[in-house]
Amino acid sequence: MLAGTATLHALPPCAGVGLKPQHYPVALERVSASIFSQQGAPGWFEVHPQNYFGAGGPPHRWLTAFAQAAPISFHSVGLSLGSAGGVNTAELEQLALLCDRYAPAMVSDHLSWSGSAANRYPDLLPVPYTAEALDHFAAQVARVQDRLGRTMLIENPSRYLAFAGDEMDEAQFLHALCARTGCGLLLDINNIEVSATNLGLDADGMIDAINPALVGEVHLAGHAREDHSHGVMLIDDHGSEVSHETWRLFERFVTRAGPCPVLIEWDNNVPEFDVLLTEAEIADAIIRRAVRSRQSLRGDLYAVA
Amino acid sequence: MMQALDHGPAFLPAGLFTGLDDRVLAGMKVHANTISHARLVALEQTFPRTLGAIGHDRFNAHSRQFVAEPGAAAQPLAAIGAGFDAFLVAAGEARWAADLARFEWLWLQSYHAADAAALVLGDLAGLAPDALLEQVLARHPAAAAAQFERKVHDLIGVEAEAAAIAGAAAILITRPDAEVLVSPASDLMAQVFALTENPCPIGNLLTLSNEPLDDDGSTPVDAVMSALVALINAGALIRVI
Repeated sequence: MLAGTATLHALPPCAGVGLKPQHYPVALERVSASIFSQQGAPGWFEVHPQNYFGAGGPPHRWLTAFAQAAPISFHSVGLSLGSAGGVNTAELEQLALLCDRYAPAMVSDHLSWSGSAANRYPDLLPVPYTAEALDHFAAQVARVQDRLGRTMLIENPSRYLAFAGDEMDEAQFLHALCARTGCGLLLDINNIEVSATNLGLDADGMIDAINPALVGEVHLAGHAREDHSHGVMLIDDHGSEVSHETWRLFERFVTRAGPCPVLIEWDNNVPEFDVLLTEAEIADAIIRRAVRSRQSLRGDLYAVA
Repeated sequence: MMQALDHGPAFLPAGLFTGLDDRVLAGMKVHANTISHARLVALEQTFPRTLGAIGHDRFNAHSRQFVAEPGAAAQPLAAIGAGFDAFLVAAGEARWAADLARFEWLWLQSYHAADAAALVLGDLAGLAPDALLEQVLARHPAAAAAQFERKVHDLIGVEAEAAAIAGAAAILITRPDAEVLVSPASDLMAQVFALTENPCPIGNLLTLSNEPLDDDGSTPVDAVMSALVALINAGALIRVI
């Protein structure tokens, strides 16, 4: 299990949704009402902390209200852990301030880099899977965890490119990172589908290669599809509903891993809040089915014994 | 990889990625598009009024040039609009359009500024005259006052349903509670507000009364006090303990 697991248990093993400003009123109404009834509200919310780096104002009023009503997870997109110059220290300090203010149940960022101090790329760029990159990345994760005083989760990336010099596969790199730093994994299953399709990898194999004991949170999202003469390219745009293949891979994972916090991410072409809730209900239904399947399997094993 | 993202595929080192050239270029294009799209959308979200006023095509053309400037790419997305108003001037855009962008930037600073309890007149009620003059005031962290091109006053006046903004000397931006508010400000209000950039006793603010009499014949002290009261009522000031 992960080191510093006290915070891991604060996110319930059920579906949450990404919190969007256009949903603030209805989402707060639903989650407040859910104190009396568990129906019609997600179990938790996730935000990009970068959207709350301002000193005050309406964003903080809303986030304060949500943090009082439900568990909150911080999913950072700006630490740039894989940059050659190291973690973006300005972002880290702002993230630390926000963690002090809200004590989120979880903090995560990505296995990626986003430019340099002089040239920031608002994207999650790929990291080579080499021993040298692992040394560097592990040092940056340790630096962040030391500053925040807590363990964090690192998300597997969506990949469109594979480095020719890779020395290990993605799961090996991530597992080694966890062993070196005590961090956990944020398993984005849409990213598995995107990377597997784009790079010609085995998605089932990628899912099965992940050690579920290291996974503190799962992400589910939609993607766009481009058809090229050289093959299909999936784009991780978080702009549509979760694909059938990602649902299938999710069920494959939770049947093996058991219930876990799972997030519905939808960042572009954001629909009505109820659409996100419908996706969250599907995720919860899959978790319940996986639990029954695991119980049934366990019963069969007892019967055989 | 950074060279290729900044300057194009010709700068991509051979053999860096596996796969056919077309496939690698398609992958690089996904990243380049994501980066460009995120920057342009951030500018659109920062300056929605300017976008609406000059139209998408012109705004997009300016934005693409702006994000190629050295300073813009160093900013996080939330701050990418810093300096956009000056860029629009240099790019030959209409002065009022650049000024509208300046207004929007100030509005955004107000929106994200630190929370603070705005001074209200009730806080000063009952103070003896000497004690009142010793009260130290400062501008609220979310408050700003500035003069803009007349067309900006017209546009913001219509939007805020505050016709007086159109004819006002300046626009006052405040956020005394949850929401950002705009209101008209006189020259004298702007001058008093400027003095509160650093904490300042009310007695010192009244030194503005050394200015000549107003046209309406009111005493200078009365005029300054009226301007101060108007700033307080707008939520533009805090009391410094």
